[in-house]
Amino acid sequence: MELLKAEGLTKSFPVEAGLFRRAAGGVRALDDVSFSLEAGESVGVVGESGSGKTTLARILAGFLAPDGGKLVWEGRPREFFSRNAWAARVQMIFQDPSASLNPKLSVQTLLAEPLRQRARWDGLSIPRGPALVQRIEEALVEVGLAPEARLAYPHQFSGGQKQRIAIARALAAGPRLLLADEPVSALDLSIQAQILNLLADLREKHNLTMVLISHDLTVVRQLTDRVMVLHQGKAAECGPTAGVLAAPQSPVTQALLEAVPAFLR
Amino acid sequence: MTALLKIQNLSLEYRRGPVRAVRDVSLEIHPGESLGLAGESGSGKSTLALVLLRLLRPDEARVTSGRILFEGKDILTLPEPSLRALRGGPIGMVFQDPFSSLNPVLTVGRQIEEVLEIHAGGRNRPRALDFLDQVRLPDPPRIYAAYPHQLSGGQRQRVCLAMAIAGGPKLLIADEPTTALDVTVQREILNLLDALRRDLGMAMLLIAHNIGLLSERTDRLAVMYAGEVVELGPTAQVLGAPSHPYTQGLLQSLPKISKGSGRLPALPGQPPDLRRLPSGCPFRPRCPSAFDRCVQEPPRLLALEKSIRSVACHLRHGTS
Amino acid sequence: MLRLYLRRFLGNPLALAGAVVVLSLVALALASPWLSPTDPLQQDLIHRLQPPSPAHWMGTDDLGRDVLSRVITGARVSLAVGGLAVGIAVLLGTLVGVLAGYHGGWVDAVLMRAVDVLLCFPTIFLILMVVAFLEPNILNVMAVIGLTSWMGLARLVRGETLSLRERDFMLAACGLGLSTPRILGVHLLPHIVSPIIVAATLGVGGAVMTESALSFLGLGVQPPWPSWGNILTVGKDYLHIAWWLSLFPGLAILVTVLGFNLLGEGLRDVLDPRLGNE
Repeated sequence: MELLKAEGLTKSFPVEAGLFRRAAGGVRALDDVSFSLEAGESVGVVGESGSGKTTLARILAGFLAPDGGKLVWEGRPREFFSRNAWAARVQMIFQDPSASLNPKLSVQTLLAEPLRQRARWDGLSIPRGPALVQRIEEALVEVGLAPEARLAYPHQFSGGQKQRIAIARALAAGPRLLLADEPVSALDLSIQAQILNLLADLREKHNLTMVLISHDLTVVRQLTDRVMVLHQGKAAECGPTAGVLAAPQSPVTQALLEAVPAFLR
Repeated sequence: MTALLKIQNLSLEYRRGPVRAVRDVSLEIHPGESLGLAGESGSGKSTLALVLLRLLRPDEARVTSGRILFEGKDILTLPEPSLRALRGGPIGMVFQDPFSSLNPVLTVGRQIEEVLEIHAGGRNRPRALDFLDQVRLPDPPRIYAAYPHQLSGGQRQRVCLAMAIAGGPKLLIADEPTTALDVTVQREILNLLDALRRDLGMAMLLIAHNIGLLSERTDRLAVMYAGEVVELGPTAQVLGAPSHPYTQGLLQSLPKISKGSGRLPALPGQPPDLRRLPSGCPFRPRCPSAFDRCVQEPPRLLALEKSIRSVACHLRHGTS
Repeated sequence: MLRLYLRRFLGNPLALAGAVVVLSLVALALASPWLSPTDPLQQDLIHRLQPPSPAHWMGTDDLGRDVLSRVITGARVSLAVGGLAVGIAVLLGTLVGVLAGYHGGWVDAVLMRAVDVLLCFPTIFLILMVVAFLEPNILNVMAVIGLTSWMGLARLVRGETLSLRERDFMLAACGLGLSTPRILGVHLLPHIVSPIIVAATLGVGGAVMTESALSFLGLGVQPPWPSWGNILTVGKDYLHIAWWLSLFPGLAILVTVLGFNLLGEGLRDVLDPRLGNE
């Protein structure tokens, strides 16, 4: 079943120049990008900086509106959904967990919010008190953290643990689609495998559809079924991950592949 | 062959804490050799890079023991003028973020010429242009006149390299030189570093958290963990047949294109908090092969029998 | 979190010194009816202009009133005005700053141009003008000082909001579909609280100075109610024969402003996020 379809997405960012900062041309971040996602699939979006992958992630997450093109969720256009309705379906994990977790809020508060939102969206009674605490503790255990972690603040955790909290937060909102924007790039090498395994496990457990944005082809190979290679806003190549990486057709993909040390191929 | 740089039993602590960031590290770099230094957060590798040129503020950190000998002279006890002559000259350094390494209000040319002024006798435009050419920048005159913000990340890093080689270094310290760059640009910069090393006969200390990057670019590899060197040897051997459980576990856990998408054998736990190190071996909490000696006694970096490799692990050195 | 700040606070001599002064002043102000040796309004024309003595530690004024009692009571006025004026400034400044910073666009442009215009007016003239039209009493003084000192804070808050707006955790909060008031109140506010506290503390010093100046000019607290400023009004006329009438209220102002400034500077160090976590 097709979950999400994107057709001809375009997005430009104006470049301001001159005394009055008028738009003097623009940067084409996305240029006619199309793809479709089946429910339960994991798709990788690969590219370097300027390829448009971050812009695409932001559009899919609902933070940006495309200039042109269509986004369709289970047959309905994006405009059909309110901010909240989209948030109930699509959640994002950001690259740097130190920046994506509000350092002033406790883990308890950080996880309570999506849980309460989800209850609102589903029309259920909003969990409070001990019931809320229990749900938070379950969420923490599910991502491999101790239940007592809820009492602490983000800065008390290591990078990998913070990312686990970020994953728990995203899942607590009950999304169908998980966007992971460079989920392990900011983490130490020795714990990347832990997080990659966690993402794979959770994806299976919750039957999540996943879009993984990464510049690292080894990570993409690990977690995705299909991959789309972006270059300067356009799709350069698309196909099953194993196939594309084994026999890349586009020079962009080939260049990315060559950049991987032989040791990691 | 006598070593160009010899770090002997160096220990350093940050005053806030205090935190022992570098613990009894001994390393050598020979002329023309490339030594890779791999490690994660808390490993001490960046601290080590900074202390080699005494770039850490005395109120922030202090060396508690050891020596750093460059061509026989201890850097730690050099008087200021000699130290300054060393920095940017015989020992060049390139840092991670080229944007903050360059002065935004001076043109590239001005900054390279400054190096020439201090280390090569005087300002010299043709030589500056020549260095820009050596780092494979197209249209050196244009780059010469440009300001850092007008250049791309890769170009800026090349400029930093040009400034480093302009001082005629015998040793180049490159601390995560490509981390802030795109992957394809990373490869170009690393290739450039290789070429420069060969052409100029410099030794290089290449520091990276991504151990894969070091695989093709270094002659020898030192792996650091919690402020110590835990494994040392020819790169191919260390990566091909790692001896320390940390190196082994780390390399096994890395995703590879050939591995497909099966579950990865992950290393448990996290990199250590230097303020709360466990007794004995710092890797013990995460080590699948730890035994009672590992709790009692920190292992020392010792040579493996009949080998130029060294490892700091009780398992490898038997009970003695 | 709070424990970290407390530890830092206790280790910071500036902050501690300032805190001691400020807390003493607050205690003094609160307990003034009981701490004043005599009724500050009670006249004693026989003992006019007496120098400091065991009976009157700070001497008496031109109507025989005990200067010490008047200075102590004056603390109430100064701190009340200082505190409430700054309270108004904080409320207004934060509101404007957050709105302008978070919303951006025309809201930001309009609000900031208004701030710019208001900042062009010399504050003292603005205050004098307003007060000249209004009845000079303590409430008006508070309001006027508050309404003319919020602009700097607005700019500060706007700047902080602008830089925080783009951070990933704000985006994540937005991504949960949270309402804007909630995002601002729960996610943004804790980050701007620290600079606001520092600015407010420093602002109290300024407000006390301004109130004293107004009372000195006769536009603030009216006699017979004591304010450090209006004691000085009399003091200036008798400077050569009754130095105590000028010295003690002057010292009171000095110590108060100094105390709040020290505390503010100390808090700035204590609350500095860049110091990391120990």
